[in-house]
Amino acid sequence: VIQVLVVDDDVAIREMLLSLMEDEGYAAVGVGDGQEALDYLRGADALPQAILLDLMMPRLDGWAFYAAQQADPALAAIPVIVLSARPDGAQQVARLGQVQFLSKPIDLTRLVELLEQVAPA
Amino acid sequence: MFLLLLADPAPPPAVLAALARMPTDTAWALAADRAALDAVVEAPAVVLLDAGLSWAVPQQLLAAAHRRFPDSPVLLLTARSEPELIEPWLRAGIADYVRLDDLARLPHAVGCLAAPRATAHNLSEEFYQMLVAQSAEGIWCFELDLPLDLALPLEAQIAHIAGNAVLVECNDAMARMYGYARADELLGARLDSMLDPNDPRNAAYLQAFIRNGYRLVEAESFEHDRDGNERVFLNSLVGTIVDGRLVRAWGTQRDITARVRDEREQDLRAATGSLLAEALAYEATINNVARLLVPAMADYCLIHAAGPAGSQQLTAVHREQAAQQLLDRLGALTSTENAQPAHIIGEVLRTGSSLFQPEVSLEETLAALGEGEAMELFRQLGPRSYIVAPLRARGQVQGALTLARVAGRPPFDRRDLALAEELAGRCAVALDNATLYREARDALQARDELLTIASHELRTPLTAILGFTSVLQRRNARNTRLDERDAHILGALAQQGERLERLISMVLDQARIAAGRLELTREPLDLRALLLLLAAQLEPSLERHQIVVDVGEAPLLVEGDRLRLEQVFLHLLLNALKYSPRGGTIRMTARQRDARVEVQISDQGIGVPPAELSRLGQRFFRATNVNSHQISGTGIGLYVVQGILAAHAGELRIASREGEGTTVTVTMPQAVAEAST
Repeated sequence: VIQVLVVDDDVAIREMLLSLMEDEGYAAVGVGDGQEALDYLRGADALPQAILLDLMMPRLDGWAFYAAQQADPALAAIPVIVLSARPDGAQQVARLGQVQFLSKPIDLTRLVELLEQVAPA
Repeated sequence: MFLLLLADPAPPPAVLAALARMPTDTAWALAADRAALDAVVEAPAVVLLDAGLSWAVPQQLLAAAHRRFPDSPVLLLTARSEPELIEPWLRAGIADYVRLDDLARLPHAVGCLAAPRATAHNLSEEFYQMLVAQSAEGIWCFELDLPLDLALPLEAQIAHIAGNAVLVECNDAMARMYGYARADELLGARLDSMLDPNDPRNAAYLQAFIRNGYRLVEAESFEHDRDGNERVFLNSLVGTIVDGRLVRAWGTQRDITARVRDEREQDLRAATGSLLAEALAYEATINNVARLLVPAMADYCLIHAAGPAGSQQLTAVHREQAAQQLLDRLGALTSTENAQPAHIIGEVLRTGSSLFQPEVSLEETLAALGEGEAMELFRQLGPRSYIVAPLRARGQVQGALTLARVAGRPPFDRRDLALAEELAGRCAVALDNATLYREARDALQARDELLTIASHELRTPLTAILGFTSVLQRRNARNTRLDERDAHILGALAQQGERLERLISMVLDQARIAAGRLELTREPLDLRALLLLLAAQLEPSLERHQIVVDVGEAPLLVEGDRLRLEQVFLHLLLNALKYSPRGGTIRMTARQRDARVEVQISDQGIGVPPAELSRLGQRFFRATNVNSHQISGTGIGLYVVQGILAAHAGELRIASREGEGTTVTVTMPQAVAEAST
């Protein structure tokens, strides 16, 4: 089973994404901010094959999480899909480097396609 | 009156015709050479000399005429009157000249030359003196200590006149113009003590006198009276030339100081008025106003704004570069210390009434200043006369206008004070407008920022709603668990959520466009394909409408942001549907026209009232007839469409007849297709 980490501070969105992952046959875990995500990743028995990342979050935001993940050789290779409602989200993500971007509200069909691309079964 | 006409060989017919029109008591004789001249017995009142075609012959005739009739003035008749052509004639001793195309002036010119004799003959000396004494105009005669050689270069002539002219005759009226009671108080004055020949305006006056053949009509001179006040005179004068040298000049002058001052003040009002009228960027404007007032009205000018912590210097302008630095330094000092002149300005800001110091005793002021750098700077600036006028708008003192004059310039008077107060009032209104404008602009910016944040906050719950809806739809598609009506409700949820998302996007877009932050990802694309796709997407949902598409067969290439252009044309198509609630045909055409692509979308809907057509596309504006048709909207859509098109160098035109329909025309630059090899 392919594992996905969902990082979003909004409980409803997190729940919605977890429902979708479950329906599509992924094993998904949800966390509420970048720090929780780092803690989870560093303590996990098995690393996820993809990360769905929100940008604007308390404590450690999406940019800071991405920087920390890239700086950690054990985590750097995990593909990231950024999901954001920021009006300038696409431009922000272009600055991050090699990550995928989907704007919120999320086109779920497109998200499933992207996941299949970055984490093929 | 007897005239002698010298012409070789024969006078021009026009001259003969002019002589025929002379007063009936005029007799004249014609002489073509020296023999004929010598044969004339009676001394003519005036000798008329035809300049003819050559130079030498009439010159010889002129010399002969002078020898034969030394008391008869010679009037030259000439086809040309350029100064450089006339000057040799003046040096040769002609008294005046008349151009052949201006022969109507001949009787007058002859009359003038003959007049002194007539005066001598017919008017008693006493009567003549009385006329001069009674005249309200100044009448004067300057004589040159050293006659002026007319062959000197222009500059040398100006210097010679300025340095050698002495007032030898004048009337009381003239003396009064300089602040004296009687003529004999002024007589003997030298010209350069009355006017500054180095003042460019006076240099121009003397230059005109010389270039115009040592005569001048109604020319301005800028002089000063015994108290040093500037006076402006309007002069008419004529020089007397003897043996090719200027020996004296007679003239009259009228005092136009008041009129010139009126005109200057009007000019100043008009100039400041037009500057201040568009004063939204007020720092620059205030500076421009100060530059206008210096040197026109003052040697230096300060403008201060009243602030919560005292006054703030907005600008300081001095007429001299070196002194400007003193002023800047003083401004920096007094912004921190409560010293002069901040102290004086503070008083005006507090009381709201002007401070008028026509004559300042520098010593007293300095004593009040105390020690320090500010005092030294103040002493070097050396104000001798100043006005501090409050800038008052909406009943509040907004700042102060300071005007100062230094030594060498007459002090301010009451009239200057009134003008300064008026100009200060205008500055205040401009300053106030600028403040209000800035506040309004800041409020708009705050609103746009608020919209951006609010939109993001709206999107978060919408993301969950739409996401859950979509999850349910996907589950239902996988194994049907909902009946048709519930599935329809789920569809409606998704549709309305998307509609809400479009509204949020539009609100965001308009904030972005208003803030100039719309970003595009440009690529070459085929507008024809894009339009066909949009029409095809809309087709299934049409109920009362049909879309007729005519976009030709060839690609219509433009360069632009695909998503943004989709948004534009989708919005225009949805508008066409929305504003034709009873249905009908939507026509969409596209074609290439000149170097642009033109797209037209027309409907058969409610149209737009003619008076409101020009306001469509203004942010938040909606035509008034939408209410009677109960069509909801935000008044943002077309604003966004226009903003996106403008970023593509595109244009939007709207034509409409109320009740018949609307046609929207979009044009965009055509992209140059890349050469394929």
